[in-house]
Amino acid sequence: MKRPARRILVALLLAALLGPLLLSACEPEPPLPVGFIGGLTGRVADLGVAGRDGALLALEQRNAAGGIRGRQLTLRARDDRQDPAVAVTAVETLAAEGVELLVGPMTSAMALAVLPAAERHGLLVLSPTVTTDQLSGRDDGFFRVISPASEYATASARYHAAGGLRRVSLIRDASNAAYVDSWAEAFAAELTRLGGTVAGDLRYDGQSRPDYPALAEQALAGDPQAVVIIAGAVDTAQLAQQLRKRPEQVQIVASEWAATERFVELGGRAVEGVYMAQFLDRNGRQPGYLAFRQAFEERYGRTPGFAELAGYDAMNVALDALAARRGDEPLKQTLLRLRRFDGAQQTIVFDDFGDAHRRTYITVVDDGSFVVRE
Amino acid sequence: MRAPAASPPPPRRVSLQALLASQFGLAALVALLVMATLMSFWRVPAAQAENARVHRFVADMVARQLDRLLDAPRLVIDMFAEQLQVQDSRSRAELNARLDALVGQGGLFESVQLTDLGGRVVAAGLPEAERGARATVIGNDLSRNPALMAARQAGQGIWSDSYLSPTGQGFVVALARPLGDGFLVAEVPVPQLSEIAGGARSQYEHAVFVFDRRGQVIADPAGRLSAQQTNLSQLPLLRAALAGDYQADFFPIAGDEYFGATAPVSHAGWTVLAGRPADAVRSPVQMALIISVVTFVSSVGVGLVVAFAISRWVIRRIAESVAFAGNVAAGRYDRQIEPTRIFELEQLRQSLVRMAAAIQSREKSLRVSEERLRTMVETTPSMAIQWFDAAGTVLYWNSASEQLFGYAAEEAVGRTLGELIYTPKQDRWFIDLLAEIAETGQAAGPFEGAISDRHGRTVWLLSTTFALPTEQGEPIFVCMDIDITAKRQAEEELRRLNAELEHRVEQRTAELTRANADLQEALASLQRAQSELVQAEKLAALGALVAGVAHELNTPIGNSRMAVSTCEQQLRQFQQDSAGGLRRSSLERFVDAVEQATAIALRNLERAAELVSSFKRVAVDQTSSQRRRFELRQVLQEILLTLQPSFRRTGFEVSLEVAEELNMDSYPGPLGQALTNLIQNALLHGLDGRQEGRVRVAARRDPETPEQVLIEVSDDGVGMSPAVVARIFDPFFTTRLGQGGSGLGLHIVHNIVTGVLGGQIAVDSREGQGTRFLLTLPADAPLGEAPQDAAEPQGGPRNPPTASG
Repeated sequence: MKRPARRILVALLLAALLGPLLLSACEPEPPLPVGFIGGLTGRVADLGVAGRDGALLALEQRNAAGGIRGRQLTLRARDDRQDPAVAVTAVETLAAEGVELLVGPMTSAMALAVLPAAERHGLLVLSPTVTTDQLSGRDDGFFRVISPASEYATASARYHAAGGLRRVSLIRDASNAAYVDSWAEAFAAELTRLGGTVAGDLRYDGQSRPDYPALAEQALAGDPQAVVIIAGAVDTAQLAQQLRKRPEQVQIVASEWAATERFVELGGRAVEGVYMAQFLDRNGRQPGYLAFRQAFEERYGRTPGFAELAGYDAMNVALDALAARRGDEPLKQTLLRLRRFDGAQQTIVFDDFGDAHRRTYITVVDDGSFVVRE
Repeated sequence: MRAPAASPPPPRRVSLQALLASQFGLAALVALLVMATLMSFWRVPAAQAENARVHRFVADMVARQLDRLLDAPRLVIDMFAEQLQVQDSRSRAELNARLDALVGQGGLFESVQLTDLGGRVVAAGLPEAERGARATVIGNDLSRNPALMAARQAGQGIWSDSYLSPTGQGFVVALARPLGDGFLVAEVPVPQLSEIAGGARSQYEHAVFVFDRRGQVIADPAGRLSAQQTNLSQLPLLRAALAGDYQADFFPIAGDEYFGATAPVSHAGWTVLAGRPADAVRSPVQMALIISVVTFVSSVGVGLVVAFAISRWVIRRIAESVAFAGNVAAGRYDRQIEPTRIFELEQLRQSLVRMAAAIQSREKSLRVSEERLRTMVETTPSMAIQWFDAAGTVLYWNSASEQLFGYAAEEAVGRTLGELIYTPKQDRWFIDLLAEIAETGQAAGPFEGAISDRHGRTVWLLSTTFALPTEQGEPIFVCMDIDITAKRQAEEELRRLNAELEHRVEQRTAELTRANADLQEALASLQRAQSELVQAEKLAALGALVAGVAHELNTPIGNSRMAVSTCEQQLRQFQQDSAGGLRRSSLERFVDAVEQATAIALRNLERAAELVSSFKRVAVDQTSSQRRRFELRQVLQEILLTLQPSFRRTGFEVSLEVAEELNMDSYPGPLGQALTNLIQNALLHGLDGRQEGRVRVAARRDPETPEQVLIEVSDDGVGMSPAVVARIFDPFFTTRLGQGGSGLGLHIVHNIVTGVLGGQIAVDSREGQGTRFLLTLPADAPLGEAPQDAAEPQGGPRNPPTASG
């Protein structure tokens, strides 16, 4: 008679004690972090914000489609403030948070700065817009989804030389020397090869506020046919504003770095007629590109430009690699095994050194928008 | 005590302890369920709703404060604009100085630029440190500046979304407005907005986020999200707010979960999101939940231990009571039981003691009453009572039994009824009956039966037998008999009288059947008379037909006769003329005359032949009732033709309207008879006593069921009263009794239409407004309805037609 009573008593006590524990047993798997680094504040923020927004859209789309093997993803975005020290700290923080894959940085100077730290921590760096030739042809942990700067510069020089341009002045932002030097040298070399000359070559430090009127005046001192500005959108627009106030009215050529969607807002009528080479075909009719553009406009209320597209493509490459990874395979191995990835506008094919190539389009600002010339 | 052989297995016994523990567990489970239900359906949602309300309130307050804070600079700019327009000071230096003053005021604006209509900067106010670089700014083109474009589009002052400023070299929002021949653009750095928003929320513990129209953060507590141009429009809460729907909900920002609400900053068109960390919002609910669970678990534990102890003690006391009761059952009334302080147990103890005393006294009185009962049974005068065992052996035999059966008790006890009064068959039946009673436990009887007593006299008994349980288990069977011999004899007499009565009833029934047969015969002869009358009707119709034939034939035959007699005259003339020699002219005249006369005669004879064949068809139809295919219009025309004599010389007119060709496979004879009767009815009754009138016969296809044909016979005569309409188809019903109406015309019509033609007839009439008969007929008459005589009367119009062929 005593046995069943005691058993019921014990069962009730156990149920009362263990019930709450059982209820709180199932916690979901934490999301997989993916890093992003770029200039999100200050003068070059247009590029950084654009790249981050594109990358975030790709990540959100992947999450909506169920994540990677059922696991959701989260973006850890860090601001490098275009300052090498800040950038290195940011990379180290991300590594400590368990990030394996970094989309960014957006400028070549930052890429050179963070690469040693990234390799030390085994981080794979996949940059949307870094084009410096200093990173071309190196077997390292650095991948990029566009061509090196020299390709754009050479294409630009060839186009303008064919149009009769012979004498130019250069203005470059030394704070991103890795990129601007690759670009300027390639441009100068191609122009010289085709019979032109470089009449002036100015450098300024973009970290402190430049004296735009003085730079404009100096650039025009050599009496060039055109001024070639290799700088970010804000600086290029400001220099264009100053050049347009001068009586000389020379032609202005800019690097693809400035070709963000903010450029026209910043420069207004002063940037009408400015030529720049870039890899985005704004008239593209590829289904992938149109879908991307529509999704982007719905998400952010503005039209995406080259940096947004590059950020989107880079993040998609990163996520495709994560999805295709076999066991504990290093991600670099996965990327080199797959090689080909679908970009929104064209297929991205990495060579052995993790570099890709994209078509170059020469565009000119016409009535407030970029019009493709070649 | 021996257990009964076929009793059911005992139910599973449960100990009191187990029962109490499980009851307690059940109560705890119910309490837990109630608690969980209240928590999840009432407390938590209520707390959530309260949170939502509080957060919406805070968001609204912050939004209003922000509105006020943004109003101040707006007023400064508006006042400046008014002054500028009134004073019209166009000196560049003075203008720049005054714009510089705007930048100085409150330190909100980082720069203020005045442009011409095209967007070129004409004057600029800058912070003190940058005034040296004013030349850099003057002359710049702001035509694509987002703030300026928004103001140009709005035509009034407007706060812009955030954008990258060339002047400030960072993200800004701007207050822009048209001013005179241009625009004023006053830029505020985004980090400054975070400070303003921080000031607005300082009273509350909430984190405040401000978003521009595209969902970009322009102010946040740390200032980091706004500085980095973060766009959070993917948050459902914000997405709803941007669409104008302000709510409260949980939302994640930068990896942390918040609970907050949105509210509009109406002047700027921005959205405020005020929230607190989700943990802070959830913790009161979680705390309440933890307290509830701890309270619940501890009370369950204590309750279980206490219940266990009490139940053990109670069980011990109950065991004592059980032992006492066992002693009483065994007849040991002298044992004691200890008193206790528990009220109910003490009551139980006292009850047990009282029960023991009561049992003792009752046993005594039972013995007395048993004695009394035995005396009553023994001395009862009219009821014979015997006891038997299962084998039918007599155990007891009362004095009434001695008298009834003639055996003394000493003779009967120990023997069976078979040895005393029963035949062997009765004895077997009785033994079976006892076995059945033992099995079912039910009493048997009362039965009536006859036996012979010891002296051979037949005695009728009403007896009941039932079983009484005994302490030994084997039941004894009690048989109680009443002598009903006298009653039985009275019943026999009654039965005899009943039989006699039945015989008399049979005789009377036979007489009634004969009378009924006579009546049937009378009815049959009446129906024969009716049928003869119908034949007479038909003959009358044939008479009319003959008159019609004669009349119609009169004209063509008369014409022919005239032509032939003219021809004869001519012949005679020709004979006279030719007696004196045949002249060519007279020959020609004679030939012409003969030719003419022959033609006339031929034409009229053809007409006569036509008429004869048509009459013949009608006559054949009417007399033979043949089924055939016909075209309705043709048949109707022929019928009207035969009726012509009836109305030719009257003022009445009979018209026929058939719009289409209607082919029928039916009985034209009966149809003709029906229509003839209807038309004559109209002429005789409807139009009686009038100088003129119209009878209209119309036929058409039924528009609703094309396989049916509608024939309508209507007149514009005197009509009928509802009483007449109700009986119009009854046989022998006539309004002209004694004036030649047989009262069978419409009855015949009804029988033909509903019988052989398989259709329906309806009448619609009102006094003074004419009468309208509507026949609905199937184009193909039903098969198996070919009657000897379609007009055979059939009892009444409401009877269904019978197939008599």
